[in-house]
Amino acid sequence: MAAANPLREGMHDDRAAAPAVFVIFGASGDLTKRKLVPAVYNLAQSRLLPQGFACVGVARRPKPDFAAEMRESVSKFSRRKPLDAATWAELERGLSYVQGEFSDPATYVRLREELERIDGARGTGGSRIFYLAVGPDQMTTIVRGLAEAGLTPRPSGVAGEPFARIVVEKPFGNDRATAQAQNRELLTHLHESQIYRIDHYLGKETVQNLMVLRFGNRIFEPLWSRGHVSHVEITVAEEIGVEGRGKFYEGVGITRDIVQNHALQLLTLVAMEPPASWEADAIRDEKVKVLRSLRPIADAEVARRVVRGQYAAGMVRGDRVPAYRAEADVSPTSMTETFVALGLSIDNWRWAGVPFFMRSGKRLARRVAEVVLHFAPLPHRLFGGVNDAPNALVMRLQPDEGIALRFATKVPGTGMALRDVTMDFRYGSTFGSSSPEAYERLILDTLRGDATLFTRADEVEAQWTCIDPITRAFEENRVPLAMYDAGSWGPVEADALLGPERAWRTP
Amino acid sequence: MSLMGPVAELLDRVEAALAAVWSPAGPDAGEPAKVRAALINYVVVAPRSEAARWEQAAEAITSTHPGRAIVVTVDGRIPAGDVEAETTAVCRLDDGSTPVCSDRVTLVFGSLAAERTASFVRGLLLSELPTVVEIAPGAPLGVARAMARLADRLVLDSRGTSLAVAVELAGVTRGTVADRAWVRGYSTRELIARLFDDAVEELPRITEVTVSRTTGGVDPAPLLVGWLATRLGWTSRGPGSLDGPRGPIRIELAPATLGDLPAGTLAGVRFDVECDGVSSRRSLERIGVAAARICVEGTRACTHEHTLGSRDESWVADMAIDATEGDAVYRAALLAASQFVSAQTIGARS
Repeated sequence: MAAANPLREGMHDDRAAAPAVFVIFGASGDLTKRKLVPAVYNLAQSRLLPQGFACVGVARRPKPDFAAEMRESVSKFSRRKPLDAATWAELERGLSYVQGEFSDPATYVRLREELERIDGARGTGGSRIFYLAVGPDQMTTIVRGLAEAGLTPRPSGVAGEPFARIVVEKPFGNDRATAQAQNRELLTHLHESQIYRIDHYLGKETVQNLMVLRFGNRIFEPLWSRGHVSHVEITVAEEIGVEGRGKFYEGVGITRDIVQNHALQLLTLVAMEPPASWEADAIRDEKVKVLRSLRPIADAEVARRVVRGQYAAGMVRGDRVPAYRAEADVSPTSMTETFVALGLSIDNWRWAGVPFFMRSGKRLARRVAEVVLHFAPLPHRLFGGVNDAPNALVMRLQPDEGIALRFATKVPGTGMALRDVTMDFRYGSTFGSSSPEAYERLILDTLRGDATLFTRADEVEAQWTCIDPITRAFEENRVPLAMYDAGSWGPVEADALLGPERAWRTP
Repeated sequence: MSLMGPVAELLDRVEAALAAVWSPAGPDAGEPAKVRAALINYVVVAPRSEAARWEQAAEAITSTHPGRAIVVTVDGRIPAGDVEAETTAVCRLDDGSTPVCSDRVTLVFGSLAAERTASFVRGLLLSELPTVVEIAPGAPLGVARAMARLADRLVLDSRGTSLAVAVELAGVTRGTVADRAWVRGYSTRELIARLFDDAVEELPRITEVTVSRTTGGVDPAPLLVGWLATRLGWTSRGPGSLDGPRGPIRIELAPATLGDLPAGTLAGVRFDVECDGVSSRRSLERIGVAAARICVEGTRACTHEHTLGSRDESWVADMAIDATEGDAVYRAALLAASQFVSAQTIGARS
């Protein structure tokens, strides 16, 4: 990390990013156009990029108009409109493109020459971020190519030396064995500190605010345990279907696509112990401890603790939508799950006996992601049995990011009637709606060398340890596939998972 | 509604008028139910001639920070012991059905009633909510002093308020202090910080700072010098010079003329650095109202142009109220600026 600049003290973002070239592999892809380059532009617009900065695209196709294409993408996809000509002009001066096959060593020779040229012209000081916006099958090829071209020297630990960091996108493997193999391959060429496994969910403001809520306030943490919490509910719901990605989805399913990473990340942030510091490894150590405390789901138990579902035709937002099996590139007899609900137990001092219920699905009633702490019922009902629903703390990630607390209050009057009311805090209302996008935060963190919001190798492997028995049971058809109407909240079988005393929240 | 009368009675009537705004509508009243939103008390002390403008500003502020707004002015033309009050409810239809309302009170004190401003205003504040007091440029100083004591957060504008008054009010208040001019100057300070992001080791080796600014208005240079001094550990040495960790630092204040820039605007800052016998220079130069160029001369020469962005005063006000992370830095800079000016003045006299 760059040395602290005392002139930045008291500024709202007081950490400077180090000069570097940002290299995007897969520069002709959708992620680059929709997310990465607009994020870089927004960072430039916010003047959060370092003085010495350049961006190089690498892809197979020839791109004589790379800069013009990127300009168009920024105009279309940036959260800030219209495009600021001066900001773009400055960014464009540092934009270039290298064409080549990822498997061809000559590509990396050309890339190295281009990077050396840029170092001289742009003051980037020999530091590079390699963002692999490519499929997992190409990841190791690129990392090997970079290493063989001498572009990823291992860090010596000397402060201020040039750095080479690699950002990789999920999926991080297909199960624990493939994740381990992928990690081994990466670590053959790189040190773990050079690898930034991106889960864009962690770049969301509310996800980070989960930690602030818990560890930046006095009032919540004393309640955050088995002594007061009855159960925890995590929902990651989407209205959309597979959106033309049927072929990809058939081999993945929602358990691998969402639960293994996003939902488990949320669980770790809710359940982790206070870290010793705000350092990346201190936080990640605590998250890994949670994952290792998850009680393994035995093969024989999967069918009892997990519900898998698949959407049938239905209505979403007033539109009729087809069944999953009628989507393009999906088998008409597909058993791939588009919905999963499960109950997990954390075997540690804080959470023993508190079930964590998770559900995630496509084509559900609403797009919503939230974590809900349901507090235990009162030990004694002083006011009778009317309107005595337990307190709940809802942390909403999307949409309308915010926090709501449900509690009972007296209805004004001479009687003693109680009613639940909700104190609702919405990020957008208080801070405006121009929060940086997740990718902006995460790209900036890679430039700063801050890996706090990225997933470590042991974290990925521990996530798969939790998920593998479930996906194995699905593949072996040991869990029935429950159908649900598109636009509903999933199959009714998921309700039984919570037991007779509890019900899923309707967000 | 306009009210006049003996001060204590008037306060009762203002309170009653405000309570009436919030009383639930009866079934036959024909009024929709109102939702009250209140996060702050916002009190602004303004010159009488500017009252209407500050009422508008208060409305803009309460649209982003719902609460009670109180506009306080003094008018020598009304009987000396009198107070005039006007209460207004400001409602917005957020979702087209339920009005979300805040209220506003405008108080005009006669010249002798000014001493009562604090106790009068205190009676109108919503309890349990923080009180933001803004002192508008040209506000009557006696009332400003009294109101500053009520503030949980005091907002000034050093573009129109002398450094001496700003220091005095910052000393009077028990709350935190913000400065609209400091908020407006954020981009400039950020660009100055940026000059040294990749050369932090050069900061202790600065030998000379040249600050140029357009003439007229309140001089922005002392606050900038105060900021640099407190961040970099410089202490006052005498007129035109400060002591840095490695020796004296010469401070040069220069006039500048740059077409579009208003009076009292920073036009450029240049840093001369001496590292192991090698001289280099880093500078920030305004190239118009909305753009600046930063230059590094020496071994790693480079030039970059940046847009400064244009922000309206509503945004500046929001930041002055909300952005508290730089409070300690600002307060320290303000005090150091005052010492710097004192040294300059003493130097000029001798």
